[in-house]
Amino acid sequence: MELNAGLVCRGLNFRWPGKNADEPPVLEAVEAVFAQGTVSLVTGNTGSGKSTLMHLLAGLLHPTAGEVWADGQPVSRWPSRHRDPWRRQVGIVFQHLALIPDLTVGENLLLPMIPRPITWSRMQEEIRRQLEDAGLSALADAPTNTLSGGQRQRLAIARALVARPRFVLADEPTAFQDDHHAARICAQLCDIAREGAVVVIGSHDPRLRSFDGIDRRFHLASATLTGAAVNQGAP
Amino acid sequence: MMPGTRYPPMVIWAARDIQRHCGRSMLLFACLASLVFLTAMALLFSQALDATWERLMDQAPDLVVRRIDGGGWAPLPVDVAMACAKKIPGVIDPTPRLWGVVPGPEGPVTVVASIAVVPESMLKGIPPPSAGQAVVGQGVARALSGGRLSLGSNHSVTVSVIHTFPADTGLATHDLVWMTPDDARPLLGLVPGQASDLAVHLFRREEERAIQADLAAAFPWPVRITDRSTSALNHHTRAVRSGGIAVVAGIPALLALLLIITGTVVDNTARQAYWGLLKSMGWTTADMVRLQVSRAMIVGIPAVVLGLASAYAAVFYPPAAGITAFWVTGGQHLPALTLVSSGAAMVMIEIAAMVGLPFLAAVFLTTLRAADGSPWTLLQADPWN
Amino acid sequence: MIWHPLTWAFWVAAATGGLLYATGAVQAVDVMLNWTPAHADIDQLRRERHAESAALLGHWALGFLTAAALLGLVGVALVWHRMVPGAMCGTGVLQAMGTDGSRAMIFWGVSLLILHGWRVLDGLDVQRPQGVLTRTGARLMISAAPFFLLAVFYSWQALMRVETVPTVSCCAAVYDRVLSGASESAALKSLAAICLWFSLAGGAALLALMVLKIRFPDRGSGAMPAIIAVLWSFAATVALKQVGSAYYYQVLSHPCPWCLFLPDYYGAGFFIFGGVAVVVMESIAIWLADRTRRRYPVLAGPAGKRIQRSAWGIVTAMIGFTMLALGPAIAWRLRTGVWLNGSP
Ligand SMILES: Nc1ncnc2c1ncn2[C@@H]1O[C@H](COP(=O)(O)OP(=O)(O)OP(=O)(O)O)[C@@H](O)[C@H]1O
Ligand SMILES: [Mg+2]
Repeated sequence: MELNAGLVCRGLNFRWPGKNADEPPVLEAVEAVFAQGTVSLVTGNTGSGKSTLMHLLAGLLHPTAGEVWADGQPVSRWPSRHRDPWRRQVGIVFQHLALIPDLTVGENLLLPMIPRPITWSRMQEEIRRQLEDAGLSALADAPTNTLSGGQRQRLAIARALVARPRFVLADEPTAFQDDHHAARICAQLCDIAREGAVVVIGSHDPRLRSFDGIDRRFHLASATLTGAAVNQGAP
Repeated sequence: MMPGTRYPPMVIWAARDIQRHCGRSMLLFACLASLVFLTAMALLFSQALDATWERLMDQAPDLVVRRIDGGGWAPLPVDVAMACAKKIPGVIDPTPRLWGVVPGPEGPVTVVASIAVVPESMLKGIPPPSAGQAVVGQGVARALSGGRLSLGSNHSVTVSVIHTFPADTGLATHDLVWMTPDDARPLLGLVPGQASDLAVHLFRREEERAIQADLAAAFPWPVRITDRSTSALNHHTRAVRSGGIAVVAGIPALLALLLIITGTVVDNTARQAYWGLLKSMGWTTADMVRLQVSRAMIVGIPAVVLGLASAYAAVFYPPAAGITAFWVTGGQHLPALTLVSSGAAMVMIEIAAMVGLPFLAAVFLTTLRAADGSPWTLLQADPWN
Repeated sequence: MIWHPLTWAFWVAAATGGLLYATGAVQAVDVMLNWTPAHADIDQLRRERHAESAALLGHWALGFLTAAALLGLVGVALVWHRMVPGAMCGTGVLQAMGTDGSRAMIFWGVSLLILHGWRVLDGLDVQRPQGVLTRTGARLMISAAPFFLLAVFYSWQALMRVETVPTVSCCAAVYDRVLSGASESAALKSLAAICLWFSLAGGAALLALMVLKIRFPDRGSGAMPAIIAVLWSFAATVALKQVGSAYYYQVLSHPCPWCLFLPDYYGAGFFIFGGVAVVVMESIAIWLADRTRRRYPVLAGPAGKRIQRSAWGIVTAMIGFTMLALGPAIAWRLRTGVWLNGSP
C-alpha cells in the first residue's frame, strides 16, 4: 500500500467551533487511506458526520487535530494561498448541490474550468462530453432552475467531474435518483477511479451498499470511522 | 452555450457576469463616463487654451521696451530708441510699434498700426488696409453698423472695415483693429517719429535675462521691459488654473460617488455564497480579483472612451465649444482652440491617474473584502445552509 | 503648482497606493508578530488569510506607488518646468524645490526598492507551501513604511515650495559653473574620467558575473553582484551626465541629466535611467534570492530560477543602457573622426 498516492487521514479530529467542550466531537482519531484508483464508500446514520468528513477531505474545513494528506503532502496544514489552488484537483458534489440557479446548465459546468490554463474550445469539448455522460445534452442551454431534482443532482456530479479531478468527493450522489440512474452514476464513478482518481462517496443509500464496483467500505458511527483497517497498512 | 471565441475565458466570464447584473453595470458605466467627461473637459480646455496661445505667440518678440515717466507710459522717439537698441550685442531687428487701446462703440478696442504687433501666423494672407480702411477682429466686427467703424472720443476717426481676422485666431485678435499708421496716430496721441514701444528679437533666447539689464541701461530715459517667458508663464499659469479649478470644484465629490457605487456594485453579501462556491472549485482570491478587474475593465474602458470623446466634442466642436468656454472661463469670449498631441497625451495620463486608479483600487478592495474569507464561511451564506 | 492637474494626478495615485499599502501593512503586522506555521488554530488560520491578502495588497500597492512615482518623474522632467519661471527642464524644477525635491526622490526610490525586495521574497515564498519566508516578507513590507511616509512628506514640502519660487537659473547655472570655474572644472573632469572608466570596467565585470550566474545559478555569492551593480549605477550616472549626454546635446559643457528626458532628445532619459534602475533592482533580486537559497534548501530550486531570470534582466538592461549611452558618441566619432572634446 503506497502512502504517497491518494487521500490519507491521520488522527483526524473535528469539533465544530463554538460547541461545548464536553459535547462529543464529530470526528475523533480518524485514520483512513483512500487509495488511488479505488472507490470508497462511507456510510453512516444521518448526522453522523459524513458531509463533515467530505468537507475536511476537500480542505474546506480545518481539522481541530490531525492532518489530511494528499499525494504525500499535508494539504490540511497548507496556508490558504496553496490550499485554494490545490482544490483544482478536487471535484466535490455537495449534498445540497450548490448550483447557481440563474445560469444555464452549460455555464454551471464552465465555472470550475475558468481559472485553469486551458483553451476555450477545450473547455467546450469537456463540457459536451460531461453533459453526454450525465444524459443532459438536450438541456445544455436550459436555465438550471428549470431542471428536475434528479437532473440537478446529475448536473452537480457533472460539474464535479468536468475538470477531470484527481480526487472526487461525492456526498449523497444518488439521493434523488431512480435505480437506473443510480447505477449509471456508480458506474461513472467507477470509471473515473479506474482512470486513476481517488473516489470517496458518502451515502446512506442502501442501493450503493450492494453495488459491487465499490472497493472499500467504511462506516462512520459515534465519531469513529470503522472498516478502515481492513485493507490498509499502518500509515 | 457560448460560441467559440479567442478571448481568454476569464474575460468571457466577466462579460457574462456583467450581463447577469446589467442594471448595476449600467449605473457604473454612466457614473464613470460622466466623471471622465467632466474631468477631461476641464483638462482639455486648459490644455487647448495653452496650446493655442503658444501657437499664436510663436513669432512674438522676445522683449518689448516701453518708455515710462511719472504719468505712466510715454511715447517713444523712434530714432533715439533704435540707435540705443542696436548698440547692444545679441539684439536683432528692433522694430518700433504703433498700437494702443482706444474707446470703441462697444467698449475699448486695441488699435494696431504696425505689422510687428500682429504675428504673421494670424494674418493668413489678409491684405493690409490702406488709408481709411481697417481689418477688425471678430469681437469688433459684431458691433459694426454698415461696414463702418468710428473710434476715439476727442479725435474721432471713422474707417471702413474691409476684412475680419479669422475666427481661429480669436484668442489674440478678438478686439483688434488694424489700420494704417497715419489713421492711427491721432487716435493714439502720437506725432510722426514717435512709437508706442519697441519690439526686440534676440539672437539667443537663453540670454533674455542678461540682455534685459543691458537694454534698460542703454536708454536715456527710464523704460520698462517685458519678456516673453514671463508673459507666457502668466498665461500658462492662468490656463492651467482655469482647468484646475474646475477639477477641484467638481471632481472629489464625483469621485466619492464613484467609489460608493463601485462598492455597492462589486460587493454585495448575496454573492458571498457564489465566491465560496468558486473557491470550493479551485478559484483563488487572485482569480476572483482578476475576474472583478476584468469586469471593471469591460465596463470602464468604453465609459472612459465615451467620456473622453464627448469631452473632446465639447471643447473642439464649435456649437458645444461656446457653451463649454462660457462654463469653464465664466463668460469670457470664445477662442477657437487647437489641440497638440503631447497635450492630449498628458490629459489621457492625468485622467487615467485621477479616475482610473481610484476606480481600480475600489474594485480591488471591495473584492478582497468580500472574497478573502475561508470558503466554508462564504458557503454558509448560501440560502440552503 | 498646486493647481496643475498632473500634481493632482500624482497625489491621487500616491494616496490610493498609500491606502492599499497601509491596508496591507496593517494585516502584515499580525503575520509578523504571531506567525506560527504548521499550526491549525483559529488565529493562525486568520493570519494565513491576512498573509494572503497582505501579499495581494502589497503587489497592488507596489504597482500604484510605481505609477505615482512615474507621474512625479514625468512632472519633474517634462511638465512642471513650465510653471517655474526660468526653468527649462527638470534641473530648474529641482532647484525650485530646494533640497526637499531631491530628498523626496531618494525616499521614493528607497521605499520602492524595499517593496521590490519584498516582491522578490514573496514570489519565492509562494513557490512552496511551507511559508518559510512569510514572516521575513511581512517584516520587509512593513519596513518600507517610514521611508514611504518621508517620501510623501518631502513631496508635499517640495511641491508647496514651488508655489512661491523666485526665478531659477536652471541648467544655465551649469553652463556658468563649467565655463567660469576652471579649477573646479579640472577636478570635475578627472572625476568624470574616473567614473567613465569605472563604469566601463564595472559594466564588463557585471556582465561577466551575470553570464556565470546564468550558467551556474547556485554557485558564487549574491552580494557581490549587488554591490558592483549599485556602485556601477552611481559611476554610470556620473559618466553619462559628464560625458555621454554631450553627444545627445551636441555641445560640451552642458552636463545636465534632466534635459535628456525632454522630447527634443526623444525622452532618452527615461530609457537610459530606466536601464540603470532595472540593473539595480535585479541585482538586489539576485542578492535576496541567493540568501534565500542558502538559508532555506526547500526554496533552492525556485531561487535558482529567479537568479537566472534576474541575470537575464541585467544583461538585457546593460545592453540597452550601453547602446543608448554610448551609441551617439560612437556615431559621432564615426561621422567626424574625433570625439566631441577634440581628442582623436
Ligand atoms: N454548520 C454547522 N455548525 C454546527 N454544527 C453542524 C454544522 N453542520 C453540521 N453540524 C453538526 O455536525 C454533525 C454532523 O453533520 P453532517 O452534516 O456531517 O452529517 P451527515 O452524516 O452528513 O448527515 P446526513 O446524512 O443527514 O447528511 C451533526 O450533528 C450536525 O448537527
Ligand atoms: Mg450529509
